[in-house]
Amino acid sequence: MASQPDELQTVIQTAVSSPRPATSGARGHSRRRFGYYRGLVYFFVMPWVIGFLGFTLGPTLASLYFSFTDYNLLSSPKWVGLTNYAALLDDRRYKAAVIVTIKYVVIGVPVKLAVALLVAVLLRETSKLVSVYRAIFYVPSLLGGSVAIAVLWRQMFGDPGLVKSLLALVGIDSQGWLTSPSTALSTLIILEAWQFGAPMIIFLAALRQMPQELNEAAMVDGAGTWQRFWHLTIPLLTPIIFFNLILQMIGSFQAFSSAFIVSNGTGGPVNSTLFYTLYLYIQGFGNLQMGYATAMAWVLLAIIALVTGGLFFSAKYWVFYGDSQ
Amino acid sequence: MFTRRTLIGAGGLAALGTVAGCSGGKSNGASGGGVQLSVIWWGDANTAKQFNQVLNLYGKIDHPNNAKGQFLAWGDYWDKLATLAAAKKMPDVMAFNGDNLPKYAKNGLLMELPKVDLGDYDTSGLSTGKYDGKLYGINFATEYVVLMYNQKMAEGTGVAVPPDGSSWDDWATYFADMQRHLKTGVYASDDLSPNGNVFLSWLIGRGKQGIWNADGSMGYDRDDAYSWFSYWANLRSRKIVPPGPQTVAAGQAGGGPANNPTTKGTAVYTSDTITNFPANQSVNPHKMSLASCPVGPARRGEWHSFYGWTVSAKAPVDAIKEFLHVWFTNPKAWKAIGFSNGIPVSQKALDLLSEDATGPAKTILQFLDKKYPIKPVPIPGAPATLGSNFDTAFSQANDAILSGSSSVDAAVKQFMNDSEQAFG
Repeated sequence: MASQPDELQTVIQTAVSSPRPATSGARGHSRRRFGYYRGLVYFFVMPWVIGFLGFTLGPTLASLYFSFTDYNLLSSPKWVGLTNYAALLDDRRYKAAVIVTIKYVVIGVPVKLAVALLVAVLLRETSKLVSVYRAIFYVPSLLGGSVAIAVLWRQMFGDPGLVKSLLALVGIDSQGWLTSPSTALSTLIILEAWQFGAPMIIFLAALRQMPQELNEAAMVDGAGTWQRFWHLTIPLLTPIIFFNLILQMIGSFQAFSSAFIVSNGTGGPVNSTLFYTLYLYIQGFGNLQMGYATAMAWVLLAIIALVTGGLFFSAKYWVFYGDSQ
Repeated sequence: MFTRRTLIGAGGLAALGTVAGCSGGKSNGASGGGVQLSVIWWGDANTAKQFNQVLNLYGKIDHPNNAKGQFLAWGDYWDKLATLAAAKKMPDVMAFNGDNLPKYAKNGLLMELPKVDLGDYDTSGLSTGKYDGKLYGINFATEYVVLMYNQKMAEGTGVAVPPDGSSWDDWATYFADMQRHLKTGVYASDDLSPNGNVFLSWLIGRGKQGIWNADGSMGYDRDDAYSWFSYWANLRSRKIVPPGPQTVAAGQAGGGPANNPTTKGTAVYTSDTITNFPANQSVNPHKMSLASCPVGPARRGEWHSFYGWTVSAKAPVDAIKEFLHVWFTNPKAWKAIGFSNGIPVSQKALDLLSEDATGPAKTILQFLDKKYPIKPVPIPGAPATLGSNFDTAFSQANDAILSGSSSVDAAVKQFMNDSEQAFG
């Protein structure tokens, strides 16, 4: 008896090689075969489908419905139309959260990508130690989102903290970075930039793929290191920069844990670390305003979609693909 | 061989199994045909050990009924409970506080408690467990805010501790005197300006009902807030309490006994509820002692809000009655809990615990002996729609002052605006 893959191959070969229409008998045979494999396909796909329907699509649609309701988890939701969305416009803390998040994204993402690109360029050279350095530089990305690192950050930038103590040693009298509204966000941006490992790996892979002939030709033409980097490497990397930019931008809009841990869930001092998602959590679980929180979530989705769309639109002006004219 | 129908059927069963696995903490049938009560509270492993002793005791007394407990940290507890409420899977018996009882009672999730035999439990304090005139919760004990201090450091300064009944100004004077004998970097007191419990004592002492009134309206005015923030700003400027950023940092670290400067040896005095005295003592290597909360211009500042058991609206009534009876009247239960939930309101329980008290329990009893019977002012439950809005407004005003980004005047103005919005 032939094995099943052989049988399948026979069926396919028959279908492909036969110049005449298959007889009804052959068609029934292949249909039974495909029916058998389709059953297996359903079987293997089913866990994902159940997960998608039950844990992604269902909750997503439910949250859309809740965003039009007054829902406090303790009683049934009551339909209030666009009230939650309108209330966002009058919410002083909501506006603060939007501003903090935009600052975080606009400053944090470019800084993170710049650091990632810089380190990737430095690691491009092949050496025995490169893989070790690469692993070392990637470690913060594995640990950076963890609670432990956020706690460590609080110890370093708090008052008294390691950074303050080190600055004091060289005669600089600073206050705790995380305890001052003017500097608290910048410490979280540093934490974000420190987790540059993932975009760095992607940049590094792209740099390794770059054709050396172009670089060598530019050298022959007398281009210096900076000129080659700026006029050759960067343009060739723009698709990768664009890819990383989209990923990091979306991730930064959704940042939560660092601010939650560092501010003990308050977004303080004085709203200076009140990320959008943190305020959403405070409204949803602190105040049990789940309808309001879901409205916030949908507005965030719209903002991210809008910014992503804008970036895609702008891409035709600054992203250069190999096949573009 | 698999058919499409059997595969879809298997998938459906798997999905049902998954959903069934998500079920929460409802009362179940206990082995032997009884009822198993599900009990939930917030706290640490030590509290769990004590509570589980009483749960086991209940299982022996009310056999074949029994109780199964679970506990969470404070920060996770209310998220979990709200989620269970949304899923209509609330446990039978739940620890609650006065901030949350009204909104759950208002939504019909709690049972109006049946008549329970509570022995010699002093029922005069039960008003804090009421909502809309109906009793939904029974306090574990009585608790109120006290001052706690490092006894060795305080005695080392040679300045006499103010007697019971001293005012806020008396305490400020005492702290200033003490500060002169302390080394640099050590402060007479923790900065208590961000402590909502102490702010509540301040308001009670000024004759107010509390942070909110019984009708849910705002319980303080601009003068109350301004005088509060100014009192602490004054101590801060005289370096009697730690610098503002250090206080912000302690709050960011989560506050609590582990993070207060008295535990760290950088302040002599701090404040907490008497319930938390054992926890404060357990993390402080030095012997701590207790002093009464300062007295306000109108009256003493001790207050008492709800902290105790409530019951799910769908819990089995007979088992609940017996559970509460065992919890509040059984001497073994009193022994197991000790002073962990506050000062017992049963005289028999207090007498029993006095017999062989040691450590923090002995300190609490010595403190109680020195005082005339304190009758803390009962605080009504929080307005059901307040949420965390007061806490947010209060912490923001404090952060603004402590970080130096705002004057007391400006912070109070913002605080009052936010408060008016919070209380609607």
